[in-house]
Amino acid sequence: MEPDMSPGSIRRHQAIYRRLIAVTPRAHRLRHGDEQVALFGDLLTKGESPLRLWMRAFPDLITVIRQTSARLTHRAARIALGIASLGPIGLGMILGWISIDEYGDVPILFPITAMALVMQGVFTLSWLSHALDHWERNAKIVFVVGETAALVVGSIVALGSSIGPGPMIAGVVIAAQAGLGLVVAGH
Amino acid sequence: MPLPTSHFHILFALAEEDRHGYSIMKETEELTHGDVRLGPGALYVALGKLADQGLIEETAERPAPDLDDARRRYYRITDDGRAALGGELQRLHRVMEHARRADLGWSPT
Repeated sequence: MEPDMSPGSIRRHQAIYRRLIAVTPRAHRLRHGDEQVALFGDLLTKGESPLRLWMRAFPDLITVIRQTSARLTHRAARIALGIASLGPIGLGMILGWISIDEYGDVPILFPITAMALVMQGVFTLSWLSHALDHWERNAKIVFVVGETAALVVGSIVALGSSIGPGPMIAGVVIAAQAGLGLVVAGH
Repeated sequence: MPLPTSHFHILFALAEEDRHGYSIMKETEELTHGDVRLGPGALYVALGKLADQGLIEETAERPAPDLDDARRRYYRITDDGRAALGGELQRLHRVMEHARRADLGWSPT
């Protein structure tokens, strides 16, 4: 147990600590900064050794930066995936509309692809919004298998397309959405 | 999925009673005989994650004014948090049972 510190001394330690936590992400600082500084002061008040506390403070702040940055990146990736999922849904609806409008003149592959695209987008959005959580681990397995298949098919279509720019664009959209989905799932 | 160590101990501490950050930190140290020492930053990152997952929540209830400190926020475990803690304890219990049966040359003291 260290000798009692004066309130002024504790405030000085807290002021330095507050400056130090300025390096942590803003969202974390706004949410927990004041509490964190108060807790630092509490530890000093209760007799924690300042030297030991400061030695622990640096690795602790690195932990905060590492974990909160990873969280922000993950959140951004989820938002990007949500937006990217609108691509397959939109493409699927266009293909579906063409299939209905020109019924009999388009290959059977058109309506099948349209349905697969809409399903890919809707399934991804459902997974992101936790609507499939009751499937527990199976939801993630189905999601990863579906996105992997979409990535393979999308890549083949995008890279090997000799049937015009339309399918190539569709392939790129599908592969990009699926790739992003796998990144989010693997995080 | 197993709970991260810090999340498990925070839920454990809050299962007994509502607590503020300092109290959670001290309870965790006591429970683990000092093996788990959460720094202020790591503690609040974990509290933020648990709150986002709906496993804990901030409580508006405060202690008596003479015992209260306005800077402190108090946290409470939710029903989902209790379920997650129960699941983790169940998982640890199964591991312990397996370890007992497996004759690892170790026994709990």
